[in-house]
Amino acid sequence: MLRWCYPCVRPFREIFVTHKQFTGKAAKRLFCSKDQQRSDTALAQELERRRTKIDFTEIKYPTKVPETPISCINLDKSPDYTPSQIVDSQTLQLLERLSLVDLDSKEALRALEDSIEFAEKVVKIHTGCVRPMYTVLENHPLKTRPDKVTDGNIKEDILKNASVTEEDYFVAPPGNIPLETKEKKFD
Amino acid sequence: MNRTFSGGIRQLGASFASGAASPTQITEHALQAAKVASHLNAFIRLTPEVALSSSNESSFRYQRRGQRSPLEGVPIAVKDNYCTKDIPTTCASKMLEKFVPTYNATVVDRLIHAGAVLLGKTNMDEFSMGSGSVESFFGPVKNVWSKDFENDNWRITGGSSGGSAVAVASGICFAAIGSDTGGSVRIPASYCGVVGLKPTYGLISRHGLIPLANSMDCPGVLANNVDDCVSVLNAISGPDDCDSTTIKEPYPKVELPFLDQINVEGIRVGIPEQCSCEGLMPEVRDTWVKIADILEDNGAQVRRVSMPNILNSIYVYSVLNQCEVASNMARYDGVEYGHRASTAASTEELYAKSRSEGFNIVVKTRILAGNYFLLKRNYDNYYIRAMKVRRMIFNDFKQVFEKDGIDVLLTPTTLTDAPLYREFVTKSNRDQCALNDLFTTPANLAGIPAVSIPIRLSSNCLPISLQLMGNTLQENLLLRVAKWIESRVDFQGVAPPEDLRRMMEIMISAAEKKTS
Repeated sequence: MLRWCYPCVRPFREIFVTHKQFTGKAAKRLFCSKDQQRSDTALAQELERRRTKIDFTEIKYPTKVPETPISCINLDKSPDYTPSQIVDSQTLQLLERLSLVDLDSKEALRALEDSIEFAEKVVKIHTGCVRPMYTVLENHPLKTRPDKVTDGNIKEDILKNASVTEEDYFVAPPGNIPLETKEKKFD
Repeated sequence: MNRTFSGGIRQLGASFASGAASPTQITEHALQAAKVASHLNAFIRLTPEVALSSSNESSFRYQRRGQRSPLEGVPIAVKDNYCTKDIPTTCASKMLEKFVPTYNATVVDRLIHAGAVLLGKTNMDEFSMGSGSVESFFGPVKNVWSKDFENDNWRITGGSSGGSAVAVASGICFAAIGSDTGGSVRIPASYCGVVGLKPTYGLISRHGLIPLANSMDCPGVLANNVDDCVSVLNAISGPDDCDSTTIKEPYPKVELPFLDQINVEGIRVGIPEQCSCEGLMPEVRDTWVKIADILEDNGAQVRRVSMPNILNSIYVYSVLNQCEVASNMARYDGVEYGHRASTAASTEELYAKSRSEGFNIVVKTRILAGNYFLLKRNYDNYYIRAMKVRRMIFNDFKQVFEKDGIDVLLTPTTLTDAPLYREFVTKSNRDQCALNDLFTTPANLAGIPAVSIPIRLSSNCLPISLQLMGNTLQENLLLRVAKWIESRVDFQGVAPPEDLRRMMEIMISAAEKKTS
């Protein structure tokens, strides 16, 4: 259902065939079979005409879009850039314990520090006494439903996606053992 | 051999009804087209069995004149972060590689109920964390508008719903479902030259959509034109008991008048001056200026408005996204579902190992950064403050829509046309997102509807799109203006990708002849 026939600059309307049937080569594209193939120059002219149908440089009214850029979001970094926010090794261990994911390379640490630096922009905005906005639906009351069971007997469904189960239980290794985190050195 | 159509969903339905084509034929054809276009990597999984059986049912219903909705028999692709019963749903992550949901997302359920044919699950950034569709466990998605598909010289699709955008742009299916948390529907729509709609937050149920950031996640629609977008929107919108954050007030279906009955006379269009920023490609700016001019020429009142906080959105979004991610990703521990590490001595070690193996580096860094912002000592300074700035941005929108009386805001969707893959990946994920999301995150933070519509081709022969934003639940007005602009620029008639490649070859060979 490729919308356009490759050789004929026209949407498909007629019966069409695969590339293989059309050219004998491996199937790559779909072609109309009925339409005649246009000459290359005619095709180029037609497309150029369509592309320049509207003159985007000509306007009738003084534009409301500012002539010169008003804002500047500068994200270009010099090659030797290092984030000014440093996550010390103690904090990093805490984050790894809380997140239960490891930070395994210097690049990852840099990405983390970069994220924090990026967020510093928020810290610098003067907010005055504005209330935090948790949800845009704050004026819509949440609907509650009657406290009734609406499903059940789906034990199999619930256990289906677990890698390891035993007698209708999920299985995990011994608990209450804190994760060991080691101090990181990435040099 | 099949018959096929240049028109939209409505014409397709008419052909089904008249017997000129059957859903089975069209579905077979779509599956074939998807295989032909497999180099684009738009799909993580095609679902031929499901598609063919439901298209057979659709064909049968058409024969008995019992079609359920305008979507009956229409092939639609769904992003791989919507749960589909008995069909793997991976979020493009190793973590969920083998996850098979036992229920359908509400959006999927409603599509099936409307008679649509589920063609497959589309590729995306892992857990939607990205804006280029280059961070997938199953490999990056390539833009159908690229001139060269080899050696990293191809164009990115934008993300994270890149697979859905390409599925529509390459003509494989008529519409696709994406999800938009910071621009994930509109950015790929912009880069791939299709229409991308992010409706009002809460208009479409998130039940069964694997969450990224709950306070901003919003299902969205990608389609060839505004009318098709509306057909899909109407099928999936509305309150849902399974999602308490859907808006419960009855919401009338969007109905757009025929083109000759639409005019933009008296429509008040706002141009947020802050969106004129450095880094905006001159051609994108020209496009923005020209469309504002065309609107004005046809009787719209075009005004410059000031929204001082709008560009702070990327910073606020970055903090909120990472905080919500840190919380949302806590569910993946490898015990009940998802990737489980093979050996571990303790529960916590099992969690840590499974997560380290299952997530890519972007996901891990966002979790760590989120937990940093949520530390007791940082909570007020980052998380609470970000939510305060969120309200300031929300108030900016309230000001323009309610006090200044603006109907729609017109901005570019992205700063440039689709970047080259090899240039895009030299930037960090953080910077990629900031650049791509600049104009799209404000609508997510404010929960308002926004639509990206393709306008023209750049000198690189890539689509340039503009974004329209409207007030909460003003989809009708927003899409009416979008449809009007669409008819004026006639993008679909400008230059299709298939021809484009041909044209480029001709131009290059002509240039070579000249130099030799």
